[in-house]
Amino acid sequence: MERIKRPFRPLGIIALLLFFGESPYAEAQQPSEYQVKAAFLYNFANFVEWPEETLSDTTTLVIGVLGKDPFEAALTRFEKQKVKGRSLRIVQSERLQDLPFCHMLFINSTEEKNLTQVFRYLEEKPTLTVGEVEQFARRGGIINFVIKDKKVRFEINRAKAIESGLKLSSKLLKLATIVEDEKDKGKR
Amino acid sequence: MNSFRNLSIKSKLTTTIMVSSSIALLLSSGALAAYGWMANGQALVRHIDTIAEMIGLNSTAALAFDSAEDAQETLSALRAEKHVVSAWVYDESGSVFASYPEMSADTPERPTESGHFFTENHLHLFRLIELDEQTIGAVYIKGDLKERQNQLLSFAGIVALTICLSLSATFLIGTALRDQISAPLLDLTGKMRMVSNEKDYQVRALKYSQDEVGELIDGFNDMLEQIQDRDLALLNARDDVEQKADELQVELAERHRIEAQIKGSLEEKEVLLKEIHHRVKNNLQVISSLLDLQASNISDQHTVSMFRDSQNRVNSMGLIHERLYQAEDLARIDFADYLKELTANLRYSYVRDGMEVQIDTVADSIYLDVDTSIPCGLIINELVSNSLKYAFPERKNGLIRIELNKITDSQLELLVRDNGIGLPEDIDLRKTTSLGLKLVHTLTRQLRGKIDVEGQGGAQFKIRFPLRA
Repeated sequence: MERIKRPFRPLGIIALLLFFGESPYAEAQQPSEYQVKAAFLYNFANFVEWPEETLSDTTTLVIGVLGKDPFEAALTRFEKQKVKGRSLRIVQSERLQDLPFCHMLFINSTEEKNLTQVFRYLEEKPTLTVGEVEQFARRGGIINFVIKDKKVRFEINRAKAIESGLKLSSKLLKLATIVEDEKDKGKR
Repeated sequence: MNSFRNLSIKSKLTTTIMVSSSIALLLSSGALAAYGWMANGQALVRHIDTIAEMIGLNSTAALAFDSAEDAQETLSALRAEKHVVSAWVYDESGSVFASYPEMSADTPERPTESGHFFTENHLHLFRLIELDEQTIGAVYIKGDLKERQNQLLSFAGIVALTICLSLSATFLIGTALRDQISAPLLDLTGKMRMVSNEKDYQVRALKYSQDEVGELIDGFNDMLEQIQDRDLALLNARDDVEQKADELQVELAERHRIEAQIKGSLEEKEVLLKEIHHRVKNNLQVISSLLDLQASNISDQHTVSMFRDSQNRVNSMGLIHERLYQAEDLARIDFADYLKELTANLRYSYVRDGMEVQIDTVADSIYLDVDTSIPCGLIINELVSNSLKYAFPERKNGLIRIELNKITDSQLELLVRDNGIGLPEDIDLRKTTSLGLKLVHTLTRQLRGKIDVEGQGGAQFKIRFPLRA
């Protein structure tokens, strides 16, 4: 580290930055969309309470990614951290059946066509579903990422979350756009 | 301090009460103010800390999901908090995430740990925002101390008012209590003045209490009583003395009276005595004249001579009585004077023409009483008569010497001497036929004296006798 302080060292760092294209500094200042989404996924865990029985037998919180992993290393780096005293485990699969019970499941936009099947499969399971396709929350998902004013924001289907046995923090709800199921929408 | 010492007890008590009350009030007010100031500061810290905590809690989601608007909204709720001047929320990296008021200038550095400090007008409090034990940001609040200063000012006002009211109450109560102490003292002082100015020892100070002042008053009254008693005793003693003086005066007057009486009676007696002596002398003189008359009718020389002798004897006695009433002291006579007169009379009686005889008398300052004078005078009369009749048949160069000397304090010596023919050798005064010498012998015995006679070369008679006291 001492050598970095020497006058010729900054030249080498700049060369490295140029070589790799993305510098850690650049990333910190302007994180990419999926880096933000990965951080949000991690943070959701802090504002959601799962039913006791899904947590009492294990000390691990499982986050699953269905479909292709769009986060690259951004999500897996959280595996080293802990949420509410539990360690994180990130699992990824193209097939839902291959995944274990996930406390939180990110559904890649590539899986849009299978959404109905997925939702049916997860029905009555306390899995926090997170998507990034239009109408995701209205169609049976719980949280849906949207881009608003070039910023990552999210919609929440509160009724669905309650239905799944999840408790969402009011703080989280406050930040989100609350949406309702499509089928319920007509009823009101 | 000296001026305080000279204040009246009333003023002293008032000053003491007021000064101690003021000091007590100021001290307690000061302590209250200091406590209030500190408690106020702590309360403000707690209050701001609560706000910071609330903001922190409400900002966790905003920070976690990068929602500055939400954080801003949370901060804008601070509008209702008059204690908060400005506030900032920082994100994990230390940049300002939201601020109140919006776009607030002079943003402080993001603190590295929770804490607070005071500046002149502000309280600076900061708190880290944590989510699941991870620091995700911080909140920094600048609190206003104006409120605290205003509170202190109003507290000072209340204290001033309280002090005023308390001191007024203290003054009123203190005056009442003070009078309890000073009234008996003032009464005592007044009574004391009355005693010292008017010398009225009958006054008594009233006793109000059983304390030291009460004791003082008891002592004062006791003293007055003693003085009064002593006064009374003095008055009685004076009366006694006056009475005694009066009695003495009366007694003195009585004595004067008695003295005067005695003096009067003494004078009376002296007069009487003089009169007696005078009469005795006169009677003797009458006897002498009668003898003289009787003698003039007698032709016999021997008888005439006997009459003359008797006449001389009577005269010598009369002379003594004459001397006595003429003398100042009626009891005694100057014997020298008497001798001169006696010898002069004898010379007149016995010395005839052509007879040469000289009579010397020596008796310096000798005074004799009547009982001694009469025998003495008769003895001298006999001896000198004898000398003049018989000692000088030649009738020439006769010398008779009479001396009366004081040998000792209690003895006199009478010496009668002549240079005549002397006496016969066998003379004995006890057996002599001469009436004159018999008389001499008898009179000497009467004087309790002793006689010594020498008859050679003139006659000499020496008679020693004790002086009467």
